[in-house]
Amino acid sequence: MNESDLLKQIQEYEFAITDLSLYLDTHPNDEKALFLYRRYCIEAKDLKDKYQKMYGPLTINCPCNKWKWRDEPWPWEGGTN
Amino acid sequence: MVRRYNYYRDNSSQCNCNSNIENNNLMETTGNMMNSMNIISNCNQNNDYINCDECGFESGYSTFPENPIYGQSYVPIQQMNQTYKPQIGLQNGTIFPELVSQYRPGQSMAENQYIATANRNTNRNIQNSNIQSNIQTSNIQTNNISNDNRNSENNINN
Repeated sequence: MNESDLLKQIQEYEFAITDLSLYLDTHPNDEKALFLYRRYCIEAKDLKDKYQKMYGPLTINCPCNKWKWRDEPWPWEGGTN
Repeated sequence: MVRRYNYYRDNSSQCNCNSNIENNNLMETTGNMMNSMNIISNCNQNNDYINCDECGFESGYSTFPENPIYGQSYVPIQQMNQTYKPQIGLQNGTIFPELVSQYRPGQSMAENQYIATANRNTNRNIQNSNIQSNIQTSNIQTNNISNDNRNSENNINN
């Protein structure tokens, strides 16, 4: 899986988490939604770890051995970070 | 009064959740494995959502109360059933099939016109029935007047 595919997958999972969180705001006891929410959080975290190991930090909060942050494409260069 | 929700129901005759719901490739299935993973479900244990079918709305179920008050908003309670997989969800703007609604340019204008026309027709029918009942009432009144006149004539004669 290349970088953009992985990034897209992360976006998809993060969107699903946000959408589920809106539902859970009004249905806090819905076990099925909670189950999916927890599962997607784990999936998203795994994907983000994988991405950051391979391609560099997604946010400034991710610790890296090397300072890669400024080497990523800037927003005006099409970067999303 | 014509209700907005019914307008959409009449025109599209189904909500979008039914269109793709058969395609299992799009649907998240892991939620159905909950019981096998020893997570006890508490949803649908009460009768809060007794009017809901698979898309959250029973057919013919009105989202409006019987006597809606002007200036109040009404939001039907959503009940989650199936959800899209994350990649399909992002494409649709929601992971809930029942919330997918396609935007059509000018749709609110067309909707307002439909409601206005339908309400005008309803009002016309009501007015027509009112006019007829008024005519009947005035006939009765005329009869009474002529009776009175006759009585007064009788009085004079006596």
